[in-house]
Amino acid sequence: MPAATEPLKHDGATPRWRGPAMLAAGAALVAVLWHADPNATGSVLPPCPFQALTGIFCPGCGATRALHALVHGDLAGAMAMNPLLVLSLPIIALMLARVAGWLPDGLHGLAQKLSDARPWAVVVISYAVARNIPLEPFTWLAPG
Amino acid sequence: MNCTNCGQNNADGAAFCVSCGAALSAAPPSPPPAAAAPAYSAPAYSAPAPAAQPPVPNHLVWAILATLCCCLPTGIVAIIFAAQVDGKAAAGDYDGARKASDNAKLWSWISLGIGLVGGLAYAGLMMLGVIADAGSY
Repeated sequence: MPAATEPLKHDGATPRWRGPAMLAAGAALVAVLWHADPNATGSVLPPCPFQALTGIFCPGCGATRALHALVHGDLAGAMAMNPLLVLSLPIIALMLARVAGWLPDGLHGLAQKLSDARPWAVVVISYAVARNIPLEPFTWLAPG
Repeated sequence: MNCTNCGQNNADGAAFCVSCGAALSAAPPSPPPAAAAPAYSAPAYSAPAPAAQPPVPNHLVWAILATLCCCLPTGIVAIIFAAQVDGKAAAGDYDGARKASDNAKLWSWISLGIGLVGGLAYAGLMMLGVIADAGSY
C-alpha cells in the first residue's frame, strides 16, 4: 500500500471556502429567525410538513420555534419546543467546526467519539417514538 | 502512538489516525516514501479503491441537521446509513462502510434538498398570499 504513506486526507485538505460558507448560512438563518416569528399565524416559516400530513411528531417538530426562542434568548421556551435539538446544539457545533476544518487540535478525540452514528440513531429514533406518547414525562418532549 | 499530523493518540498498530485520517507509520515520524504494505491491512485493499483505508466518513452531522431541521423521515434514513458506516467500519467491512457512507450522504442531500425547496416554496406562497391580501384592501 505505497500510496497510504502519503497523508492524502488530513485537516489541511478541507476546502478554504467551506467554513466561511457555513458561517454565512448560519448568519442568514439567525437573521431570518430574528425577524420572522414561526408562532405567528401566516408566518413565512413553514410548519413541520410531516406533522401536517400525518399528525405525528417527528424528531424535528418544534425545531424552528426552538431556534426562534434561542435567538431571542429564551432557553426555557426552546427546551419546551424541542429539547433534543437544544441539547444537541453544542455537539452539532463541534461537528460543524470539524467539517469546516476549524476544530482545535485538543478536541479531535472528543469529536471523534461523539461522531459515532450508532448511539445517535438509537437516540433519534427513540425520541421520535417517545414524543408521541401522550403521558406525563413523555409529553415534555413534544413541542409546546 | 501519536499522529505526526495532528497529535491525536491512536491505538498501537493503527494504520490511520482516527482523528485526521493521516497515515500512521510504526517507524519513527518520517514516513518511508514507498514502504512495503503492512500485512494486516492488505486483504481489505481492493484494486481501484482511492487511498487505502482512511476512516470512512459517516456524514452524520448533515443527517442530524436534515432530521432536526427538515422534519423529514428521509433524515432518519440518513442517520441509519451513518450508523451502518460505523458498524461496518468497526467490523472491518470497508466496502460496505463506503457504500453506506455514500447512501448516508445521498439521503442527507435529498432531505436537505426537499427541506430547502419545500421551505422556500412555502415562504414564497405565504409572501404572495400576504401581498395578495394587502392588495385586496
